[in-house]
Amino acid sequence: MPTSLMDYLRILPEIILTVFGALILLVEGAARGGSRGRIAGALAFIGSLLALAAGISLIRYPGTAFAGMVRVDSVSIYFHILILATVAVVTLLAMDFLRTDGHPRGEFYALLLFAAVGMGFMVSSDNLILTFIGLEISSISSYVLCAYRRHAPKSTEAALKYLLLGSFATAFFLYGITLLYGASGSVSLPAIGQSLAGKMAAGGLALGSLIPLAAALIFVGLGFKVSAAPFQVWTPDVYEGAPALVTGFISTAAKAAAFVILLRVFYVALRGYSQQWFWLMWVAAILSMTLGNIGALRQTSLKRMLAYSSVAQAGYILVAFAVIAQNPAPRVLPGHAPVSGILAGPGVGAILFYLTVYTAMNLGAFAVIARVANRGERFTSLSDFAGLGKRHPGLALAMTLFLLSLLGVPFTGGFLAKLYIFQSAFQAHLIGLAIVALVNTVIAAWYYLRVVVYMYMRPPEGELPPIASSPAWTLGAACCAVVVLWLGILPGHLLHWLAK
Amino acid sequence: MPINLHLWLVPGLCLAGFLLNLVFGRLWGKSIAGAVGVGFSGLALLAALWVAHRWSGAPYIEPHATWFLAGPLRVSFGLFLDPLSLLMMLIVTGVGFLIHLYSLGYMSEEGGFYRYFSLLNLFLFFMLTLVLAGNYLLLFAGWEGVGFASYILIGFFFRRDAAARAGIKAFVVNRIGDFGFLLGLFLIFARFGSFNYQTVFARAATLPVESGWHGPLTVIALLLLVGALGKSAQLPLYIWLPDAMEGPTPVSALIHAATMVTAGVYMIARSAVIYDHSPAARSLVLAIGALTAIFAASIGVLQRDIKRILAYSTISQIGYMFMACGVAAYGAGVFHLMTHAFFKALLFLGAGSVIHAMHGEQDIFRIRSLAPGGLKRYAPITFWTFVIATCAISGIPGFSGYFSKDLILERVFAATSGAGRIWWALGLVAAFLTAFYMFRALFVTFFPAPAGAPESAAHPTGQEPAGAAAAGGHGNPENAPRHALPHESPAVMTIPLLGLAVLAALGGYLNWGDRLLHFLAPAFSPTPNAVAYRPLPPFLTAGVQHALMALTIAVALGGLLLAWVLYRRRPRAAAQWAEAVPGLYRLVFNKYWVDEFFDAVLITPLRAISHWVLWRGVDDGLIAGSLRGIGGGLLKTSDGLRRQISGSLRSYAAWIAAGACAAVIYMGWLTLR
Amino acid sequence: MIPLSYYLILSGILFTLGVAGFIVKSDLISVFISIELMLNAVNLSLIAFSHYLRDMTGNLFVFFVMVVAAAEAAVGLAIIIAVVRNRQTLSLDEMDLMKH
Repeated sequence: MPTSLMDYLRILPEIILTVFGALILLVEGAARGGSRGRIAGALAFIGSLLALAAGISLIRYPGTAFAGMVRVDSVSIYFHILILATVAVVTLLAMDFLRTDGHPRGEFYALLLFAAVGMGFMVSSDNLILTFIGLEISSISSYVLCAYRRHAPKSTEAALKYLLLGSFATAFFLYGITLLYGASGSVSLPAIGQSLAGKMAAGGLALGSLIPLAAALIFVGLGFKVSAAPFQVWTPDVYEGAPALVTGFISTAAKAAAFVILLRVFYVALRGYSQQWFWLMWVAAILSMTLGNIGALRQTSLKRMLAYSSVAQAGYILVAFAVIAQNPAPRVLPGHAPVSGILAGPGVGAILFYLTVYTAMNLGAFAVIARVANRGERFTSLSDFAGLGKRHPGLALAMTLFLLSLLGVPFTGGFLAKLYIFQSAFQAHLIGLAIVALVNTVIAAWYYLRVVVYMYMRPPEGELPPIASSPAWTLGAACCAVVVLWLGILPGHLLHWLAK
Repeated sequence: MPINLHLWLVPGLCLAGFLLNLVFGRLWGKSIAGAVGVGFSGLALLAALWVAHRWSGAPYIEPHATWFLAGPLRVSFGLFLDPLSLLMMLIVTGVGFLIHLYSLGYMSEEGGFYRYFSLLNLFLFFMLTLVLAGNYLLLFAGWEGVGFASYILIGFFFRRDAAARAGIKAFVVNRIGDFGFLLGLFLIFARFGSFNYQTVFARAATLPVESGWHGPLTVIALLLLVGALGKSAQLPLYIWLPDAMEGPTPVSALIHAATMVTAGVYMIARSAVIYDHSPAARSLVLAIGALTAIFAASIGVLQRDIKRILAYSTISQIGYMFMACGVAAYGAGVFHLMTHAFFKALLFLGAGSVIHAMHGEQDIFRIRSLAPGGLKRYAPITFWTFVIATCAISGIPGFSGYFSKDLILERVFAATSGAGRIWWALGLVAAFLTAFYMFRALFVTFFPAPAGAPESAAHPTGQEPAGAAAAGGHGNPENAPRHALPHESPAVMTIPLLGLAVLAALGGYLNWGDRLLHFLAPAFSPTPNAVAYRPLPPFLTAGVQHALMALTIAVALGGLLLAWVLYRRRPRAAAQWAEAVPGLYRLVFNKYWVDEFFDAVLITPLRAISHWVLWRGVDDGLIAGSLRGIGGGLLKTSDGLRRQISGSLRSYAAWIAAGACAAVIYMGWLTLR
Repeated sequence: MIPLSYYLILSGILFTLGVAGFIVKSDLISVFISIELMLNAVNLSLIAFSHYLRDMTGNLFVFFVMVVAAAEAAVGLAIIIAVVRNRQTLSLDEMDLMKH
């Protein structure tokens, strides 16, 4: 099938990101001293906005491209918008962080854009090879981003751990894909789904026993990426060591993209085996929520605490995956349904909503941490946040908002997101799971609120250097805060818009 | 089509006050910040009165934008007005406004004036959302919101560990309650397909009354009760309220006495239809209410910190409201809620005035020794209003508390029989204790020490009471001039006192001829025709009623008399009595060791788990930890393995590999099965 | 002709060896080689499947895997150099700045 212009149009966001990423690298070399970073930052911001516009314009061009490798459907458009908006916000947040820390700036933005390219392919790929490549593009860029403070031992150690364990997990993922390919004879997700369904109907298939193994191995690889227990072990170290903004980025956009793969592989390709993989999700959900929350209780480093918290958050999302496995609504596939049908699925809407809220609130929290950590990221422990309410009321207020949302207090997005998931679990008769999730939110209150207590009810400890003002950062963080509040008070807009 | 009442204005004005002070508070001075805070709460009161004036009397639904719509889940911002929410709205805005006014004086020397008022407005907003909500989810949102606002108000102004801990304790205990509440909400949705009051009640009303503990409505009622126990500080979740007294006194008056803590009672009364269908759940409500009433009252008897006395009395009084709900006398419960809001707010504000006068002293015995000749000489308005409130809470005839408490006891007596009368008897004893400890507080605080009273009366053990250690709720007592003579509070503080005193004295007459009960009755019945106002059983003749009344009065006067004898006439007697029964005294004085119990059973294990998982688990190698659990035979191997691979990165890989093995083995087992 | 299962079992063994090597070895370079072993085990089964299914996709996939492995190795070595500059060691057991 010859490629047409339409094919390129459907990967336009990726093309734009790649072009701008390359452009930044070129400009970085050519431009002179002082203006370098500013130009790079501006280019990255413009590039991400253009890509965002391209992503939004995809609404008009649903369909497949490149012989079915790329699928532009509601899920991929939705996550394109989410990821690209995240990139734009991270760009804003990073502008002053990079200057004050004295890092080369161009590469940072270029890597950010390249990572987004990978994520873009992850969410729109309908082909396991492309999925794998997208995953690797985003992962390799993230490894380098983690090591960005390369003179800091913690940063490089985090990168090394991330790289080694990430490659380790990727190998599992790859092995799973291979077995899936062997059993079904295809690497295209819808084809795999049809082939498995057809062969099951015809009375089993020759290599059918490989499918559950493939599912298990793929789950290991993706479970690692979304930091689901028991594959979450890397998360605390990497999140603590990496620069706070990078952590914010990989804990949100990268995780969301990996969840989309999980959704596509299990919901589209392995739908017929939902009774088997249901228990994988169930166990992982309970382990992630419980280990994450209990692990976070005694942390003194805020980054590490939020790392454990993000493990727990992944657990809540996995609850929704268990719901999907219970109710594999056969007519409503993310790959095929009209856009409005997506939210009719009992768990899919909850996943999309949760990931959106989670991205905004987690990125916001890490943004505040990056700001308070100040030059060289020296101040990330809980005691450094003592008295923040007095020193920087705005920062403290923003942090309070994000923490409350992570906790799930009403009128923040986090509340409705959790409600949506718990409600769907209840309706799928997963009452045990819902109760465990609720118990976990009780445990979580303790460590989230402890930060609020430190910010407002403790005097500052020691002399802390002042935090320089940063308009770009403020704009970026305000975006996160607005999204958290908006989705907490009037989420109807988002859901309506999705339904259109 | 009924007229549009613009109900949203009432909470909306409070929200506006919050936002204005939040955004501009730093720019403008104290006077404007205070004016905005008080002004908007006053406007909310006016709006509430306006709504009440124009309301036709029929249940009124004000639909607003859809809040959340996802699949079957449809929740709107709809507000709802019926007699119950109207009364609650008026109580909240009325008492709220007076307390705002009072705060102008009380907080005048504190920092963060604008933040205080913005948060107080925010609290009112959430509280009004709670009472005006048209569905359970919006109620829950307000419920969580008041919890959070109170949590921040407890600890906001006092950079003390005790305050911070109290704040967290309040929130976490409330989360335990919320856990039950949320489960109940999910069940409601699963059962009735909606969160809307009217849909839920209309459908619930068609179900049969359940017997036993397993019916769906009973389970829902029990789960909602768990939420109410947390919010309204009943056994066993009451432990957060006494500690919450670390906050500023007006906050205690507004949140921990008049409004927020009674939200549980409001919620139960609101869910009357559900509770009507479950006698089992109701009997539990009755039992918990009665036990809490007597339990908290008996602790209150020995407290020395004036605010803690009031805290325990709040717990005890809410116990009465629960008792009323337990016998389906929701109207009586809400009536007591109202009178309690008046007299308890007055007591707290009076206590605040005392603390203000004494420059931060909260120990009633030290107040007595610091005010030569008795505090009543220096602060007459505070004294007389405090007398009225004490009479009201003790059930002295003619004052508001007497009417509501008598009504509750009468209804409990009427609804029970045989052994069930024990709850009534407990309520009666609690009424006696209440009168005793409240008059004790009054006599000790305001009167000069009688000749021959020991300096540390009723305190033979010599250990420093918890209340005294945490004294100083009013700013930093260290900085206050301790030797200065006590003084009366400024007019801005005494005017609210006088206003509340009028309400506390006369509020009981609102129910003259059971008018209030008739007014509220439609709120507890889903169908307009059915009369939910329950007639009294035939055996409760006028004679019996009068006898009960006389008993209640006798008990209240008895408590008064005992306090008079022990703390005015024969001051030594109290100490002698205490010496006679040291074991019981210590048990009561240490609040039955409940805090210690919770520490041992809940907090310590949780910490231990955290520590165990972290220290043993992730770092030392998770395989080692998890294999250890499998069996002793593998223990050595695991230790050997752990020694072999002490590097953490490799243990992480092992953890991942173990997880992979588990997944593969599970999936393989499924295939081969 | 050698049946498919032989290839698959061999590939499984190689993969397991790679996993074991990753866990057991303590210097960075060996760990890296273990990852390569795992990837090549996958490549082996890909080619076997490709042959068995008479489908070129598997072969194609192998090339992508090799490219990705090379990219990963390049980035990995760069990061290792950064780590060694900071820490002066190649031993994984000393990489425990962050724990608990």
